[in-house]
Amino acid sequence: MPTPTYVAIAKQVMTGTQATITFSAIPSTYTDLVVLGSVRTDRASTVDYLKIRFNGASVDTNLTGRFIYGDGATATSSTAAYAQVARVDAASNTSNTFSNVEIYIPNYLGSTYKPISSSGVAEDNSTTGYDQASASLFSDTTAISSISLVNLFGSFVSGTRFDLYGIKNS
Amino acid sequence: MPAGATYEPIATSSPTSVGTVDFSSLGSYTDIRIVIFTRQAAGSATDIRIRFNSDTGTNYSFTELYGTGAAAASASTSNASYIAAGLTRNVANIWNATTVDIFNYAGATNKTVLTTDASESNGSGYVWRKVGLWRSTSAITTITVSLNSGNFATGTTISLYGIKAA
Repeated sequence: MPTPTYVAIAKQVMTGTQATITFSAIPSTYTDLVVLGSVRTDRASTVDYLKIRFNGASVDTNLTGRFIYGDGATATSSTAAYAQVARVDAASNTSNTFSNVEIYIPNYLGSTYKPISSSGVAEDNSTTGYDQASASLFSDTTAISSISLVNLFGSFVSGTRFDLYGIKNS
Repeated sequence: MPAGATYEPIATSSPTSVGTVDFSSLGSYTDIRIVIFTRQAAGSATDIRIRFNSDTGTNYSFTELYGTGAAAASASTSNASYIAAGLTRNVANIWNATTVDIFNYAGATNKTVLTTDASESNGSGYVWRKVGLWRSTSAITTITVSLNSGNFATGTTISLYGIKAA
């Protein structure tokens, strides 16, 4: 009988406005990590940009991103000097609407640079929906022991939630 | 009341000096996910390819959406002999994060596959999403993951997981 994996490690549920959330002391007992998010920010706009950082960093050192997104009218690809993992709902989007985000980090304990695959969707029955897929890179050979999520502009609002899972292969 | 455990590890391969990995004994699940952490050992960029049941006929197709960082594009390939899950390169320290989801793999319908592939190298790279089809009503009993050319770099891991519905 195989061992179950996709183990819930921790959750962060916002009860007020918060600029940064951090998962620290991540166990070194898994192969990969997954972060699932339900996200909205207080930026006075119809979009904000979710970023990921690692190991306690407060700046985007050694992080780059490349992504493709569709807004319902056009598809665009671009890059960033940070790890932009998703476009997410902000204050001008339809109320009570939160973006869905999935971030996959394989081999987080490895001694190689760390690739990050992510996707995020933001749909609000208006003209400002987004579907984004991102490839990010953490150019650091250190094992990942903590994950921080922050927005380019706004803070997370109450109701935002992130869940961290560990995946262990056979 | 929670259902039984799901998302179970089936098998992992850490290939060295080969460009093809076969998985059999898939177990009894609803869906299968493959997680590929790889780069090419040498040579030019090459496809990561998926085949089922050793079928090398032209029974596959796929439609892709991708971005290079400068341009977004979409393309499709019909009557292929594989599903392209991604593109890997021989760039030091740059590894692909690739997932392949195979839905209803034991069913009696044609098999649908969703892949995501991420490769960013601080100056070049791409992000990919693909939907693939294997036009066969046979249950999938073996999965082949291969490179179009060259070998998987040492450090590659290819892991299979089984996902069971309630």
